[in-house]
Amino acid sequence: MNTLLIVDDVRALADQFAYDLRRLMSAEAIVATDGDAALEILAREPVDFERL
Amino acid sequence: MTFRARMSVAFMIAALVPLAVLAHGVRREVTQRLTAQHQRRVNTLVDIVRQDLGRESASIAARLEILEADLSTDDRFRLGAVRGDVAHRRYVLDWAERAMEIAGLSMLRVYDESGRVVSSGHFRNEFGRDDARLLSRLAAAPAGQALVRVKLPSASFLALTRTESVTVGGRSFTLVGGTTVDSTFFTRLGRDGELDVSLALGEVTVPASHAVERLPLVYVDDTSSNLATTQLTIAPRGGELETLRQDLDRWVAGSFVLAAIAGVILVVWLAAGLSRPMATLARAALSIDFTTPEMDTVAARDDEVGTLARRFAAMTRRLRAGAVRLRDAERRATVGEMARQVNHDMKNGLVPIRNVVRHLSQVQQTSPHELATVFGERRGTLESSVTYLDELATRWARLTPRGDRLAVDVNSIVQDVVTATRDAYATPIHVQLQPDLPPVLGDPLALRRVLDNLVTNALQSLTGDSGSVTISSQSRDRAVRVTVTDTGSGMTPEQVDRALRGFYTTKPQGTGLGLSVVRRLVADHGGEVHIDTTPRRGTTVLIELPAHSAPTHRSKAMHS
Repeated sequence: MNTLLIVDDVRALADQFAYDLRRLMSAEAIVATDGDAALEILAREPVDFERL
Repeated sequence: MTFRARMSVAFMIAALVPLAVLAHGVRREVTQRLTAQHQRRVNTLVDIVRQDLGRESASIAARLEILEADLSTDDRFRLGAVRGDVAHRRYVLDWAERAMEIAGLSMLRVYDESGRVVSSGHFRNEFGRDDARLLSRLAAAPAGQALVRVKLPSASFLALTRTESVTVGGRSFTLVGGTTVDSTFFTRLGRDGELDVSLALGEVTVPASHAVERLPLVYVDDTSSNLATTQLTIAPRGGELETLRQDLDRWVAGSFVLAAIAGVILVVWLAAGLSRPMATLARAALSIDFTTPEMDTVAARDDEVGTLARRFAAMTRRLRAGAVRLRDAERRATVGEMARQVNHDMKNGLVPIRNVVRHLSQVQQTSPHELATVFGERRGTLESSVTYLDELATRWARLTPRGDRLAVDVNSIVQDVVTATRDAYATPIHVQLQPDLPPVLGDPLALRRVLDNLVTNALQSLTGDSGSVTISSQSRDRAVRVTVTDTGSGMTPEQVDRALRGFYTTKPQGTGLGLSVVRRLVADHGGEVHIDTTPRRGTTVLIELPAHSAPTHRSKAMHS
């Protein structure tokens, strides 16, 4: 299963994208709302796709 | 060199120098003409004097001829002088005295062939005196006319003499007779005081500029062996020409001085009339304000300076109108950009809600039994969207300015802001405020928001515990300047540009509108914002607001 990182400063939008990706694509989606958080996740988690 | 000094120097060169040359020329020309006129007049009078002398000389000669005629037939003189008759010797000795009285002469002598005195008009005892040398000199004088110094026991006098030969009893005698040349004689020659006539022995040097004429005469003195030359010096009485010259000099010098003084006063008045409105124009140009009462006075002039002032004022009005239009356009552009951003932000909040609602509708139709489960899963999204929109509304509400315009003491607002922020930050804030700062006409709340933004930005830009923030105020060129300086992270030119355009921030809770709002609010007050920043070294933000001359509105009073 692929893991996707969703980065958006609007938390609701990021959650929306992540939910739909999990529901429709059965993918693992991780959410970040700023660049620093996204870099921390990238350093910690293996991510296959990023959507900024 | 000032404009007034330049005009004065130009006046000296262009007016005073030609005036001095003109005065000198007039003086020289008039002097020459006066001298020439006097010289002609003196020459005419000298001719008259010469004629008078000739008539006097001819009169003496005529009287001597009469005496010669009388003497040539005088038998008693013949007996006494030729025959040596002792009885007539007394008659011979007294003849000259009687004849001198009858003929109206001042001196008369009768000489024999050897030059000895036979009869003298003054002294009997001159008889037999040898005067041959005198007779020979008189014979050499032109027309027998000469001045002879006649010596008396007590004094001597000058006489204009002529000689006449006479034959008595076969012997030759010479008559020498003349009239006195004294002050009375000179006065008579001087045409009743019109001329000064004097006698000078030898050559007399007279300046060429003086209207003086000299009339040479032969002079005979017993002590000299030769004929001497004497001169009658003839000049206008009382130095009339010299008086005229002095009067002319005084008038020319006085006229020149008066003209120079009048010229200096005129040029000072003209220079002041030009330099004063030009200085007013310069001051008005410095502040770009051509609407002051002083400028109205200058603009009312009907000369070139007035035209220039009116054109400056018209240009300023056009510039102000253009600035207003530009500000309106900028405001409209800002509002448009804000509207686009609001649209974008609202969509960011609404899109998740719409999607969740669509998803829930879809679940209700296809799997109604899962609706509660799905709603529970999507509830967080709905709540975060609502929270986001609520925060967004709060932020936009903070950006709405009020429209009150009062005379505001900027120093008071600075102190209020510093007091309010010192408690929230440990960073030292240095305050350097200029006393008696002129007020600013504006919205106290808006200006408070401007300074709040700048001070907060400065404090938040500091990294770690080091660094400081300095706030200063000063007035310059009819404007109030407030400077906020920090030693924080600074910005790149691109970051400054984006920050001024709005919706850009590096702070998690920032709206990204701080500097753009500052710029807009300052522009609403007719001011300007200048930013000087260097990454990792700090930022200085300068806001410049037009000063206002009305009484100050204290921030504290506004708060109460």
